Amino acid sequence: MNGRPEPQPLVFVIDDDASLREALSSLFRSVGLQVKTFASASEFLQFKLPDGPTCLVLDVRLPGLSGLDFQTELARAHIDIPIVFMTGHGDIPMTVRAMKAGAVEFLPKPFRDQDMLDAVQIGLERDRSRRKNAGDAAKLKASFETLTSREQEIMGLVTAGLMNKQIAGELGVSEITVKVHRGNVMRKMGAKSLADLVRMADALGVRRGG
Amino acid sequence: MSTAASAKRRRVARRRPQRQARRPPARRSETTVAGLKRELNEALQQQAATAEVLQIIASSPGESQPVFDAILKHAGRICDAEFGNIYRWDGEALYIVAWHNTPAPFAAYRSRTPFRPGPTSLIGHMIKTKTVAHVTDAAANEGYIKRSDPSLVAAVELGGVRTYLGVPMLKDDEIVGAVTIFRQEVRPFTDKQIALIANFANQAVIAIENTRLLSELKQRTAQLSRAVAELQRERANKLMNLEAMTASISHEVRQPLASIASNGGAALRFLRHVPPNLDETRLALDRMVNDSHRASQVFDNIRALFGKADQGHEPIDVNELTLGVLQMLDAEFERNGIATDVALTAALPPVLGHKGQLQEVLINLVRNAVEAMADVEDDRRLLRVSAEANSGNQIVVAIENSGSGIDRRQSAKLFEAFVTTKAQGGQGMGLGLALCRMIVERHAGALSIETGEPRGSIFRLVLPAASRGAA
Repeated sequence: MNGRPEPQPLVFVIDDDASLREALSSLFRSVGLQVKTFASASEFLQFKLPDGPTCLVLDVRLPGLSGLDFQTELARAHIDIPIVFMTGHGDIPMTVRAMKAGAVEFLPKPFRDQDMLDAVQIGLERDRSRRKNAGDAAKLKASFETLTSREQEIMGLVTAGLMNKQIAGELGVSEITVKVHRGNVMRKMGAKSLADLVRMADALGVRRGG
Repeated sequence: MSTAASAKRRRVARRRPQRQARRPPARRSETTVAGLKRELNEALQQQAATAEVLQIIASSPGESQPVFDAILKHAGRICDAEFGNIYRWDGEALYIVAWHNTPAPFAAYRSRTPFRPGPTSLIGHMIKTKTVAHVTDAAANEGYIKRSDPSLVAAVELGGVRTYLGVPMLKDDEIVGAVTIFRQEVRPFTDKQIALIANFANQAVIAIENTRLLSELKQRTAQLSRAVAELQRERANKLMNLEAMTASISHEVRQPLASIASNGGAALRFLRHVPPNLDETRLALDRMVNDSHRASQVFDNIRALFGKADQGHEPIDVNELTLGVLQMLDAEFERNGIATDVALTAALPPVLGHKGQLQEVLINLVRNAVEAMADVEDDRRLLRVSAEANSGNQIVVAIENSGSGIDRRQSAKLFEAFVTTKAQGGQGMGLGLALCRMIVERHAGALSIETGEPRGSIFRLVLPAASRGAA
C-alpha cells in the first residue's frame, strides 16, 4: 500500500509430539508459509518475535501447562498473537473458553488440512490488520508531534468547527496568522481536506469540545 | 370337673325353694337385674378396652411401647388394681419395659435389678409352667416370710404389694414376657379379670411380634438397597474405566492420525507445485508410513498390556520395579534438569500383580511429575520417590514433585479428566491417569493425589502386600 514490502508472515507451532510438528511444518511450507516449531511453551517464549504478521498453532494440553493458561499468560504479557488451538479430546467447555478469549479456531485432531490452513490464514490476516492499525496510529502521532504548540492549538480549534475569525479572536492574533498556521497544519499532517483533518484529530483525541 | 359342677348345680337347685320362701319375690328380681347390669357393664368395659388396645396395635406398627402403656392403664382401671408392670423375657431374666402407677422405689428396683426367677419363687413357677401366678397375700407367702424370694420381698416392701397376678406372654408356647398387676390389699382377682389380663398378654405378644417383623423388614430393605447401590457403583466404575480406556486409546491414535492427514495434505500440495517438489513429497510420504505404524503400535501396546498377559499375577519386588523405572527415565530427568531423591525401604513384602501394567503406572506417575515441574525454576525441580509398607499390610509408593501444585478442586477430577502423558523416547506408552487408576484398582489398590508441602503435589500408589508365604 505504502510501497514498503510487507515482512514475511510466520507460523508458530507448539506441540510436544515431534512427528506432528514436522507434519504441520511441512503442510505450512507446502503453501509457502514460513514455520517455526517448538516442543514447549517455554521454548517459544525464549524466541524473539519478528516484525511481521504471525499466528500460533498449539495443543490445548501442553506438557506442564494447559494451552488455555498459556493463552491467558500471553494476553497478560500483552503479546497479541492470534491462536489456533488443536485438541485430541472433544472438550466443549474448553472450546468455549478458548473462543471467548479470542482464539481464531479450535480444531479437533485429526483435522482436515484445509481447515488448518484456512484457520491460520484468518489468524495471519487478523494479525496483519492489527499491525496496520497500530502502524497507522503511530505514524499519525509522529506527524502531530512535528507541529508547533501554536499549530497544535489551532488544529484543535479548526477541527472543532471554528471560523478563522473566531480563532483569531480567541487567541488574540490576526486572521492572517491563523491562515498561515492552518496551512502548515494541513501540510504537516498530510490532510487532503478539513474532513480528513477532523478524522485525524478524532483518532488523536485532540479535537476541542468534540 | 363337669360332673362336680353339675352336682353343685343340682344342690343349688334343691335349696332354691327354701330361699325363695324367706325372701320377697320383688326384691329378688331387683337383685338379679342389678347383678346382670353390673356384669354387662363389666363386659362392655372389657370389650372397649380390648378394642382400644387393638386399635393402638394397628396404628403404631413397629412400636410396642404405646401398646404396653395402654394395656397397663386399662388393666389397672378395669381390674381395680393399684399398679402394674410389663416385662420382656430374654431366656434368663425378666426386664421391666413398662409400668403404670408403680411406686417409684419398686419401679426403680425392677429397672436396676434383672428379675431372675429362682426355681422355688412364684414367678419362677410361672415361667416354668407357663401358667398364671395368682397370689392372694404376698406378705403371707413363705418366700416373703423366709425372705427366700428377693423379688417377692421387694414387691411387698417397696411396692406394698399384697394380692398380685402374673400372666405369662406366650408366643408359639414360649415365654416372651409377662404382665403383672398388683393390689395393695388382700382381695383376689376374679376369673373374668384374670381372663382379661390373659387377653391383654396375647395382645402384647402381637405388638412385640409386629415390631420385630417390621424392624426385620426394614433391615432387609436396607440390606437390599445397600446391595443395589453397590452394584450400581460397580457398574458405574466399569463404565468409567471403559470410558477412560476408550478416551486414552482414541487420544493416542488421534495424534498419529493428525500427522498423517497433515502430511498427506502437504504431499498433495507439493505435487501441485510447478515443477512438483518431489523431495518434499517423498519426505511427507515417508512420515505418513511411519505414523501409520505408530498408530497401529498403540493397539499392539494396549493388547500387550490388557490382552492374554493380563491373567499373569506374579510376585513383584516394588523396590526393584521403582528403581527400574527411575533408571529408564534417567535421561529425561537430566534433560529437564530434575534432581531426584529416592527413599526405598529394605525387605519390603512383594505385591502380586502384572509387572508390565504396574510398570506403566509408575512410568506415567513419574513422567507426570516431570511435566508438573516444567514451569518452575530449574533449581527448584525435585522429584521425591519413596516406597514403604504401612501398618495395614500395604505397600505405599509416593511420587512427589515440586511443581506449582494442583488446584484442590481439580485434583478430584484429575483421574476422570483424560490427561494423557504422551510417550517420549519410546519408553512407556503414555496412558492417561484414569487408565492408571483402572490398573491400580484391578490390583485391589488405590491411587490418590494430595497437595505437597510447601508446594507441588504427591501421587500415592497403595497396593496390598502379598503374604510372605505367597511369594
